Amino acid sequence: MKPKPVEPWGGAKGASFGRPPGGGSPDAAVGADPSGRGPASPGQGAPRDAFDALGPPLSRLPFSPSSERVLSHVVLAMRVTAGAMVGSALVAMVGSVAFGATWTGILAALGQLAVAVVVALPSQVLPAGLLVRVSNALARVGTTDEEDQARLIEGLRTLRWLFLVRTLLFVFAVASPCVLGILGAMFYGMLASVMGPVLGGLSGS
Amino acid sequence: MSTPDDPPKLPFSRDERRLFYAVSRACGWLSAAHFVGAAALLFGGCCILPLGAALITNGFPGARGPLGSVIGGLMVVGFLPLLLTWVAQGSVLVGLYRRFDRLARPGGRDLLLLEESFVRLRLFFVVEAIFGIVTLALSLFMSSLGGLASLGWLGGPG
Repeated sequence: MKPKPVEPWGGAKGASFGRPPGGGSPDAAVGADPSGRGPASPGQGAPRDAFDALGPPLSRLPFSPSSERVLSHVVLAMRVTAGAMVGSALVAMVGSVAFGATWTGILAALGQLAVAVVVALPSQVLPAGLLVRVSNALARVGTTDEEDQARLIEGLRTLRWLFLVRTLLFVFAVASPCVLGILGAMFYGMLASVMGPVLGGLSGS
Repeated sequence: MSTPDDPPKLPFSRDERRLFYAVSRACGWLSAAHFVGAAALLFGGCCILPLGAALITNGFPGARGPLGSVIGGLMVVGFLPLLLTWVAQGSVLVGLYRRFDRLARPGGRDLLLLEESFVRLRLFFVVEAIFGIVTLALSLFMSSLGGLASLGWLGGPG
């Protein structure tokens, strides 16, 4: 039988998340912390690998003062980004209503508002909310000495989701203008070659 | 007592290491998206730049006033900074990918790797913040342009 490939964190590929540290039998999991942190008390078996020898999560992570300063800058930058994203979404919504109401009528303006809301919620407001959550967790790591490790993990878990959402949005945002841009340029080129003089006359008038 | 040669070991559990691995993969995907976006922008630049130049020269087809020229100017001027920003952010994300990938393996350099990750996160989010502020300013600018155009000061359709 082929041995299972080992993942970077030491577990076997395909192993379930609930397996005890060291890949022991299910019986060995009795009394173990479900987070994979090892036996709950020293009397429940000898440590088998690095994970079994772990202590409880640290209430204070021993970062240097410069790193804590960097962390506070990260938090500030995240909050500024979140504020700018929400501000952009609001401006886009107000702008679409004002623009539509002036040029296309109130019904079309309401339609544009609906489109702006549908676009802004996933593309601006959702990442902004995730950013605020990450920044709050990291701010507690930097400013308090309570459950630092748990807060860091909470922040990284949200950061992972933020990055995945951003990836999807990025792919969508890049793919759609790319396709539209190429089609638009082709259309514009055809139009310009066929009706160049007419277009020139219109833009000059 | 820990020294620079023997940094303190952090008690990350297996699930937490797994999370580091997942975060590193998310960084990898986002960095790949940035590089693909930059390549697409470079390719699309061939379409955007002539179109922007045409808008600067002629304005919108069927429109009067300088609105088209302003939008064309923004397209031409905004192209290079956007390209550089995406390439820079992609590079920072590659650095983050490497650090979180190493954090996923149990070792003695956890604290150092975390501190290095914070430096890269700061770089990434400072660029994001600048980008967000510029986007907000542009949104305000375009909305006020639209307002001026609707008042007939910059021209409009027809």
